[in-house]
Amino acid sequence: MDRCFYKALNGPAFGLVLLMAGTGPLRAEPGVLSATITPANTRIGFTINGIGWPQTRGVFDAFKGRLRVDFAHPAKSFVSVDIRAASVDAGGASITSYIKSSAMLDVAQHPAMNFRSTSVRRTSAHSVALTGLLSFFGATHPVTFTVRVLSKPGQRPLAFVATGAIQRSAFGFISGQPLISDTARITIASRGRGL
Amino acid sequence: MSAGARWSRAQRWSHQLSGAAILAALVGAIVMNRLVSDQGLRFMLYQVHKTLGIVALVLVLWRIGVRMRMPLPTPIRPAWQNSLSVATHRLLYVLIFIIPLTGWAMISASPLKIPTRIFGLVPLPDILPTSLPLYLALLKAHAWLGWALGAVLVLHITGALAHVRDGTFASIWRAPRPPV
Ligand code: HEM
Repeated sequence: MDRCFYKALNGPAFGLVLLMAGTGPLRAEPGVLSATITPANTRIGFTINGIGWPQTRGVFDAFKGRLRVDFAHPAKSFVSVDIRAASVDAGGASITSYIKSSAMLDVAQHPAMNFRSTSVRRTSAHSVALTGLLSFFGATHPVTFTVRVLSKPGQRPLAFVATGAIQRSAFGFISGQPLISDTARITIASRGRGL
Repeated sequence: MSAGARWSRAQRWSHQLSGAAILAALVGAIVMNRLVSDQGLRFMLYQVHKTLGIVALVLVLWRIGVRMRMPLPTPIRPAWQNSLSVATHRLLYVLIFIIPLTGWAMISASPLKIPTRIFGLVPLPDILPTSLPLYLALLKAHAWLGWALGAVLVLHITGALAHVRDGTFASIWRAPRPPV
């Protein structure tokens, strides 16, 4: 995973995503952090368990997103991320091409994934519950992420880790079941540059 | 076969080549399944194992063909060792034939639908329909038979090494000496 993250920071996808994310200067509002999410400051990874095979881990190397954090009114915060499905990387050419194939993610048929937040609720001084709609594999369903803020409240750079889980069957993505578990865990870690 | 007599070239090559492929598949299986933790490398080694296993199956069919066309080896001594070696050889032929077959059947029945390409090129067709219970049973059978093969190979190699002096080992290992 670390190696993949390193690759995400250095790979060709990085330049591409920076170009896509180059949306001009962000409007400054007091007490509000607006930022772009790119592989330079964020890692999007997943893990999934299986029978007869150790837990499979992977990352997405190409994505862009926008983040608005209203420190005074957390409920007014939002986040949206677009992910290129074909940028999945499982740390090896042959396993990655299997995951991209029609037997698994079928990235040719379903090239885009995205997440749009619909509500943000503060659950403690350092955490929020972030709910939104995840579109993936041709279906859209709500997912709730638990976001743990690692940086001091209101202080920059912002650092956080968001974790959530999806039931693959809800999206019709049942490939490999029941050998490959229905639950896939998603971890999004952001820190540093531009935050 | 006892002192003096030597197997023909086809007999020796079919023995050596099928043996090398089987050993590589067996050792590779243990490495990929038990020793490698990096998932990318592990997945790649599974693909290599499937190619090695199919190559082994082809060589085993050749070996069995060659073996059926040749006279039975002259008995080794003592008699109990000869009975043991005959039994070992029979068991070996059964195992090296059905192990790659169970492997092929297993990946055919697997719900994972991981494509198999021999040497990364030639697609291997499925020989069974997708079935989870069949896959799980074949997976068990394939692994257990693999371990059984390991045990029988230890016996086979021990026997061969115990019969270096009487020329049995050389009869399969080296070309016949030119007549003097
Ligand atoms: C002489 C030929 C072969 C030998 C000696 C052999 C041996 C083995 C052994 C001992 C294992 C289990 C390893 C362990 O439990 O640590 C194994 C696993 C496996 N073999 Fe083979 N095999 C052979 C041929 C094949 C063929 C032809 C295929 C498929 C085309 C195949 C596919 C597999 C797969 C996919 C596994 C992993 C099963 C799992 O744990 O998920 N094998 N093999």
